[in-house]
This record gives sequence, C-alpha cells and structure tokens, in this order.
Amino acid sequence: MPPTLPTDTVSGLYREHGTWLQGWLRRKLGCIWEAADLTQDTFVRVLSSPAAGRQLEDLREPRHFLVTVARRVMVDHLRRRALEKAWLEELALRPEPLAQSPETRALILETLLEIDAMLDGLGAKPRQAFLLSQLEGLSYAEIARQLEISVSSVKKYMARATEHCLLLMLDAPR
Amino acid sequence: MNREAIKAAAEWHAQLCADDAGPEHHAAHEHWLRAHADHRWAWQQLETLRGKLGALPGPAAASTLRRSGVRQGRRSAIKGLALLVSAGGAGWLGVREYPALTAGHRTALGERRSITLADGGTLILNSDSSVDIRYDAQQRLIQLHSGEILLQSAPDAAKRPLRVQTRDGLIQALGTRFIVRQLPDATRVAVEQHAVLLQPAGEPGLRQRLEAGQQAEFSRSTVRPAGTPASEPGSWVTGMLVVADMPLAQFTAELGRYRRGHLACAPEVAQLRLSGAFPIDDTERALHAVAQALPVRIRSFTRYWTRIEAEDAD
Repeated sequence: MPPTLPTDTVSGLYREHGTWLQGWLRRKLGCIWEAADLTQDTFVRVLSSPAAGRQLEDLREPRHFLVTVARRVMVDHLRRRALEKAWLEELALRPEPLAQSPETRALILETLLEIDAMLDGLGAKPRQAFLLSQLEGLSYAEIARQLEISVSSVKKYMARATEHCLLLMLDAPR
Repeated sequence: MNREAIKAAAEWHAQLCADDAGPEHHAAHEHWLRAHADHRWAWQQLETLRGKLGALPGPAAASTLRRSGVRQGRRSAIKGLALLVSAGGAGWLGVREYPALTAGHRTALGERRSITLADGGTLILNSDSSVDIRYDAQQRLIQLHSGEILLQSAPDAAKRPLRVQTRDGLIQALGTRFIVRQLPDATRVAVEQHAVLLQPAGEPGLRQRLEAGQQAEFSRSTVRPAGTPASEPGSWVTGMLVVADMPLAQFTAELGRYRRGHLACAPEVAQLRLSGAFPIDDTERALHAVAQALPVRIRSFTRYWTRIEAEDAD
C-alpha cells in the first residue's frame, strides 16, 4: 500500500474547515461569491503543492496553515484583478470602439501578468527604466532625462532588471 | 542553471540596447556567444523574454505595468504619476475631431485617427487612408478614397441610410459595425456586428447581404466570399496586427502599410507561416518578434530599407 494520499487529508481538512475558511475570506473580501471561489482555489493550491502536502502530515494548526495559503491566493487574485482593471482602463483611453477578440485580450492579459510578476520586487527606477526601454522604445538618454538619473545608471538598471526577469522566468513553473 | 551566464546575458542586453551600441559591440557579443554553450543557452532565455515583451502592445502595456507598479510601491507613486501624464500625449494617435457636414480626412503612414461623426457614430481611419464625409438630407455618405476604415454606425433621427462608397461600389450599413478596405483591384468588407448590404457599382441589380463574422471582396461586377481571414480584420484598431498561419510574404505586405520605406522578404522565406499579435505602432518591435518566431533575420541597410532573410543567408 502506498502511504496515505494527501487527498484524503485535504478532503478531511475541507470538511472540517472549508466553511470556516469561506467565512474568513468573505470577511476579507466582502463578497460571498469571490469567497467561495477563493476557498476552492485555496484547496486546489494545497492539493497541487507537494510541499504543502508534506506539511499536512502533521498539522497542528490547520486553520493557521489554511489562512497562510488563502492569503497568498488572495494576493494573487487581487493583483490579477488590479492589473486587469488597469489594462481595461488603458484600453478605454483609446479611441472607441475597441473590439479585441476575447482570445487576443486573454493572451495579452496573461503576458501582462507574467511580466508584472517578473518585475515585482524590483526597485521603482530599474522597473521604469526597463519598461521605458523595452516597451516604449525610448533611448537611454531620454530615459535618463525622465527619471533624472545618469545614462550609466540607466544601463546599470537595465542590466539589473533584465537579470531579475530572467531569473524569475527560469524559476517559474512550466 | 548557469547564473554567471544569465548575468552576462543581461549585461550584454543592456549594452546592445544602449544608444551607443555599434558594430564593435555586436561583434564582441558574437564572440561571447561563440565562446561557450552556456552563453548561447543564456542568450536563448533572453530571446524568450524579448519574445514575450514583443508580443505586447508597447505603450499601452507599459502604461498598465507602470500603474500596477505604482500601486505596489508607494515609494514611487509621485514619479509614476508624472510619467503617466507625460506618456499620455505620445502614445496614441487618436486625435478626436468633430467634422463639419462635409469634410475630408487623411491619415499619414503609421497614423490612426478616430472621428466622431455628426450623428454620434464613430469612424476610425487606419494608416495611410483618406475619406470624405458627406451628410445631406437624403443620406449619410462616407467616400473611401484609399486605405481602410472601421465604421460604427449610430441610429439617425432622420432615418437617412448610412453608406460607404469605394471605387467598386456601395456598402450600406444595417445598424452595424464593419471594416472597409480599398484594395488595388477590389473592396474588402468585414462585418463585426449585424449586417451590411454590398452593391457593386457595375451591376445595379446585384445586392449581397453580409452578416456578422463574414468577410467578402467585391469588384465593380462581382462579389466573392473572402474565406477565413489570415488576419483579424479589426485588430488594427487596437494597434495590433493579429495573424493566424499567414505566409510571411503577405505579412510583410501588411506590416509595410504601417511603415515608411522599403520592406520586403526574400523569396526563400516568403512561404514561412506566421501566427501571433504584432504591434503596428512599433514596426521595429514587430519585426524583432518575427525574427524570434521564425528562422529569419532582419537586415537593414538604412532606416528605410529593410529585408527579411533566411537566418543563415550571408
């Protein structure tokens, strides 16, 4: 017989604490539907994370553990929503009417999320320098002027931002 | 993973993107690439990253990501806002105008313009296009002389028909949103919402109804369905050229509509197939993305002479 599958543990966890977690999320989010969705997402993440599975074996504070995972799920969810909102606002500034196909829109949003996650944790100036150079096509001299830094700093920031993105890209699953 | 190689690739990237990057830097970079397999691996990762960036509509995406950065890091909020304001003017070409009853409009190469019509409808001109807007008591007529437009109709209090006239005939709107493009030998129409009626100029009796999602080409005497389009007809409105399985030769011609100077592809790569979304407001970036997606390289002699060639050509 294989060792006890975490699935059993997770379903036990869900039966005992699912409703409680949903209540906790509802208080945080103020929306019962979102809370229900994120409760599911939290348990899916628990199931799909081998590290979490190992921790489940001897869990003394199951609610504490669930809240830790749920918090991460919630942060990702809010970031996604904020970025989606910023993107839609950005599109709304463009001349109407705007009909990207849903596929195009979804693809662009996925890439935006990916790049956003890569840029996370980078200082404000390296982040700006990287975006101005790579997405807006500005020259280093122009970036230096806008950010009020030297051209050699722009180059240094570009190298740092590129390395940061590459390391995160290589680190990401898939 | 070789972290040293990643760091070096990032430094090369910063050097090659710099304003002063010259042939000697490219030569040194080539030398570095040849020196070790890890270097080539690291550079491949960088190309993947560049590919992701290249697939985004540049200025709009940059603005979105900068704002999300502002939200995440309060420390940069003020400067971020200042940047947003300064970016607003440069990014998009959407100058709004309120035309008189008869008015001519023309866009330059690479320009795109949105016009609010007298009835509240919207007319968007693609790059290098020209129209006359003629509204009178009988009809609302838009004459397309060259290029491509997207028309979003609005209901008219006086119930006048809304028509687009091209060299080949008339397109009558039936409460709708559609795209009309004047080709050298025909007119191409793609309907996004509701329907339109096509009326070739040389065949007064011929009327063909075109429904949402359909696309057709008509000359003065015939109408033929255009089949599944290789590019998404209205994607230019959002600054993108969205193509699916399009031969490179056709893609080159499409991208050339947004770009000054000579752009061509070599015969040996003309039939390579391309899919993806490419920014038309930054054709350099689009070309770069092509070079990532296909075994080709972009060869430029001057700013205005560009050719897409096989990667290994000399």
